[in-house]
Amino acid sequence: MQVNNISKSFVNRKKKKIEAVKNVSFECRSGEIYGLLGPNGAGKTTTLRIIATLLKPDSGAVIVNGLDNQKEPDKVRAMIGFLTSDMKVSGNLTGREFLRFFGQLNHLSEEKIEERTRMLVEMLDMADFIDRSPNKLSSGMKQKLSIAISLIHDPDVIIFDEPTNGLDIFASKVVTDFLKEMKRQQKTIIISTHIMSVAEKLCDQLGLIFNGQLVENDTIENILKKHEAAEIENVFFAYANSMGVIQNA
Amino acid sequence: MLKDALIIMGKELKNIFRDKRTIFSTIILPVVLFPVMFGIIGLITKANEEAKAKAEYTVYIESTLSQPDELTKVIDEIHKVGNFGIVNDGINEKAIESNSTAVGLKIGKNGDIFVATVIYNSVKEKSTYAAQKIREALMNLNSELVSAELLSRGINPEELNFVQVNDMVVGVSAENGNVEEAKAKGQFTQILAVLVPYFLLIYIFAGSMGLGIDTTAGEKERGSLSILLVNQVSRTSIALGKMLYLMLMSVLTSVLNLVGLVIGLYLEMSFLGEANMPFSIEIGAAGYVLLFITVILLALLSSGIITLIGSLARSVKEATGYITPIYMIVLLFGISTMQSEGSKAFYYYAAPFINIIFGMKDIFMGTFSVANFLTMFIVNSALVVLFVYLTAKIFNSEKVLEVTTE
Repeated sequence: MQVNNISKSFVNRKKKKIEAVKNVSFECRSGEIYGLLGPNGAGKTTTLRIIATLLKPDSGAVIVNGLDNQKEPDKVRAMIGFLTSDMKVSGNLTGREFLRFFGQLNHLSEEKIEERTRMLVEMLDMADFIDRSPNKLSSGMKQKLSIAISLIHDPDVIIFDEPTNGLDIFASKVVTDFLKEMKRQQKTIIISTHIMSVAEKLCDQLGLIFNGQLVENDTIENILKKHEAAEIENVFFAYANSMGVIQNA
Repeated sequence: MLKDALIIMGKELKNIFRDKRTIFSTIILPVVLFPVMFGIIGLITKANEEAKAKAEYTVYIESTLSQPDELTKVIDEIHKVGNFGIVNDGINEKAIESNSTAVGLKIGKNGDIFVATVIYNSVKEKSTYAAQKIREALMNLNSELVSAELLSRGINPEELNFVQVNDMVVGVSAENGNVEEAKAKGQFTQILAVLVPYFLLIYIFAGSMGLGIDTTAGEKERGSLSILLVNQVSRTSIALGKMLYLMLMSVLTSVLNLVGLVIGLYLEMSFLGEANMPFSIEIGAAGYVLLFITVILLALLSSGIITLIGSLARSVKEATGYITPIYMIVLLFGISTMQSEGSKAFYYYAAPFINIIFGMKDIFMGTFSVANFLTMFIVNSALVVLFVYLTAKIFNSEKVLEVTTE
């Protein structure tokens, strides 16, 4: 998956133009996890939403398995499993019914839906609550259900925006273990996070994003070597300081 | 596209019918509330009427009649119309003011004419009732005196009628030729033509409002809309699915409300002894089909507007703010056309919502015209298509993801 020079700006309520993403480029291959690391408001979610076809870039392109996601959004959506932190399952349907509903919307056969449901329930350890409605689930259980919904159609590309956000340590571990398993299954995975330990543990490649700009785009090892730093945290705060992010926080 | 829309509609319906509060407020409450409400009103009114009729009243009389038998005649007539005790020693205004069962009667004569003044407390129901009965007794006395006077002059009062009026009823209610039955049916049809379009308009629009805002702006706020958008389903299907769901729910709630209303009215009339009114309409099979089409159009139109505005709004609060003025306008259409009859000028059938009201009135009153109905059908269908198109356009744009949380 290639992200080529994408930019995106918004006009806020005071009619002021905000450049959320500026000329961002990176790529992620099958069996790799790419991490976008940045503070809140850095442009991580906007970048992921552009990749997932929810937003159109002002310029640049996203190519998924050779397809331009703006020219063939439906085909690209079939290849992408997208989860953002502001997506929340709610309502009176049970988890199983939600999976069936999204399976139907992805035009899967009933047999395929059942097979995928069984597989995801097992992988995400959801057997105890899959027949309960989301209203009766904890935030960790809801997150597992959201992950299962986003992957019901068995996509090749997985895009998770802040997947461990708001989760306790146990639920976070389930999510990170699950992503490792997906990597093992040769999926192309892009995550965003502001939690450095998550990025360090999971990602093969890392993009540091500040004020909509990708300031680093390399392996963790190379980034550390380049900055002669022991931890990503040091690099992160050095950029935050030099770009005025800390002063403005 | 339709298959996906039906999947979305099915999911929404399943979701809403799992909610016990919705089942109670949508299905149980309308069917139970109106019969209970009107039944209680009927029972209370009946009990009130019976209490007034059974009560013992006191009439304070101040008479300047010179002949004793004249006062006796007045008192006899008063006894005939109710349970009245007579106190013939002047008016006790304090008692009349404080006691609801007391009235006063000042009676005298100006030449040959009885001149009476009824004294009562107009804020007290029983006092007003007693005053009315006293007036009735005095008018009975007047009739007797007129008859006696005519007979004394050798004229039979029965022979004084020089005009005889008979009714012949035409129209949908008169098909079996029974005039009295046709009049009663006509009266019922008039009630339906006034109430049904108004209540359907209000119920369908109001019924769609809460659910429509919840399924659009509410889903945005909860973050559950973006889950739908990243799936392999067209945005038009999402818009259509939500509209179909709203349409079904609004038709269901309005039909249940109407059923409850009719049962309630029947109960109230039964308690008040007016149950001889026929609770049936004769609009024929074609009339029912046309009525069904009209109701569906109204539901689609309401759902279309609400889905469009709900999709455009960034929060439930914002959507409510946009939709409320439109609801007020719809309410105004309903109220202003309530007493109007059908078959208006052509341009009435080109105005959305108003054309539906007149379309329904035409069906009830038997003044249906193909040209008017087709105008209504085409105008509203075109608007529904436009609303689906615009909603799909919003779903296709980034606007649909704009959220403001308070």
